[in-house]
Amino acid sequence: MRGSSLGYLIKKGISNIWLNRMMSAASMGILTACLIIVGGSGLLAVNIRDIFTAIENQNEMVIFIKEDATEEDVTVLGDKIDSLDHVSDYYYVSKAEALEEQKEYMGEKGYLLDGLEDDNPLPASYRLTLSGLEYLNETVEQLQHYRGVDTISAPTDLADTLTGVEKTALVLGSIIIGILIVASTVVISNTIRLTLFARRREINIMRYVGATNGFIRLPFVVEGMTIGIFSAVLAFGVIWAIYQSLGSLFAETRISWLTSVSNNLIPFMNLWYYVLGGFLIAGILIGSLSSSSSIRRYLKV
Amino acid sequence: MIEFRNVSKNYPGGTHALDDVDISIDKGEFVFILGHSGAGKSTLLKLMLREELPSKGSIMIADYNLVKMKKRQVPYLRRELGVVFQDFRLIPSMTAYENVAFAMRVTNISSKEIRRRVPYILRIVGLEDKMHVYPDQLSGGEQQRVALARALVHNPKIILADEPTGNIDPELSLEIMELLLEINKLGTTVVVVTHDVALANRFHARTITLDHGRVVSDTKGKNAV
Ligand SMILES: Nc1ncnc2c1ncn2[C@@H]1O[C@H](COP(=O)(O)OP(=O)(O)OP(=O)(O)O)[C@@H](O)[C@H]1O
Ligand SMILES: [Mg+2]
Repeated sequence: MRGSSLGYLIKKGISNIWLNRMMSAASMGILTACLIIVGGSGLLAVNIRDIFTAIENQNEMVIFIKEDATEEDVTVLGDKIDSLDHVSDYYYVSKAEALEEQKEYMGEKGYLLDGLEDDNPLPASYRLTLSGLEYLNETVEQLQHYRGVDTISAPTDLADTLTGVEKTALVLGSIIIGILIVASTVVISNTIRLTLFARRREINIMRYVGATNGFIRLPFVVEGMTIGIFSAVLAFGVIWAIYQSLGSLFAETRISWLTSVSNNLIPFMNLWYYVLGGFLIAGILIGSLSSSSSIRRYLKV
Repeated sequence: MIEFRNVSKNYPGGTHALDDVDISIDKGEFVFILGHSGAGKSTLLKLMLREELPSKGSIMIADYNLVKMKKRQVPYLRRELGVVFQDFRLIPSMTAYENVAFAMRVTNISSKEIRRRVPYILRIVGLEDKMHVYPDQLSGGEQQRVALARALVHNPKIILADEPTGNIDPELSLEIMELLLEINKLGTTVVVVTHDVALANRFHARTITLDHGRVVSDTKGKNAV
């Protein structure tokens, strides 16, 4: 196709948007709203993910060992821990080391513990670091019945909650995104169909004078793509503004956990290219797919 | 140039629009297709344009086998054919010039060639003074001449006209027919569908008459009364 023809067809496509401005505006509105919701959930998700990762890095558990445990009990337990897949790191803390640690922790007042060496009340323990928070419960179950195990200290409730939240968010998010994509596709298809109707004489003539299907289709694909690009840019601007203003709003409140959330927010500067790129790809794909599907139905080409 | 062999066309619903039609039209001929309403005249044109496929038989136009050809070849067949309809089918938002230029633009022709050719063709149909006028400011005869210019702009081998004078005053109809005859003299094959027997007879051209989908007479040029 020669350049001047391509230019002509692209101009036609953009003028289609103007020809049908009410519906085009409606399409852009709904697609923009969809992108904002999807993008907003995405940003929320990556931030939660980020916080989770911070928490997960502290996914440590401590296995306290009974006073009357034999040396063999301790070795058997140690071998078992060593054989577990999801234990990324572990070490043994003897009673004496526990006391030393405690003294250090107390600093200046450490002298208070002097003299306890022979009658040490602190238990020995294994300290474990897991490769993921989600393995916490199963690891506890696998180890708690071993001989010599007294209690296990682990943030199992937190683990349950976080894993549950992640799963629910994933399922809900996918459903919402699916619905939104279908909704925007339907609205854009209808817009394109209206343009097709408004341009039916031209399409008819194009067919009789021997325009190829590519030539007939291109303006409508351009129309859909342009709607997609406009919506993407618009949604990007809105998301940016919301993200920044929520950040500063949180920073200024007196609610301490919100302030700490705002401190931990991933800066938009580290995310903007993913957001814009994602929006453009989604906008262009949805726009051109919905236009070519309605053209195919309308023209039967 | 145009070759129908044992062509039948049945529409879904059981209408037998054409029944075992054999027609052969040579390069440079001028042919009228006559027949009552519903005789199958427009169906004949639709088959030539490959808007429809025959239920039976074979159709050859120029070098194209219309039954066997691939779908993506159809646009190129249509560039060999110029079509004119009873209702002109001009685009109201475009001037005469733009209507003709549109047909060239959508077939990948350079802007330079368009600027050269459109005024030339509009001059041939006698509309050089009304190039930048919109269709609703043109008479029926003038509108049909714009449509004819649009059909001619690709320099087609064949002109197909379906009741080209059906919506035009009798005097202006004659002008259009004269124009078609002139185009024919320049070497283009012309097929005119009409049910106006009197008009057809004035021109002493070959006349093919259809009735209920069959060819009932095919009279060569001067023999027509
Ligand atoms: N798309 C179609 N589907 C079903 N039947 C059709 C279709 N097109 C035409 N017909 C039928 O085929 C027959 C021939 O129609 P055609 O249009 O060829 O007639 P015609 O000779 O052009 O008539 P007219 O002079 O009124 O234009 C008619 O009975 C018509 O009803
Ligand atoms: Mg007809």
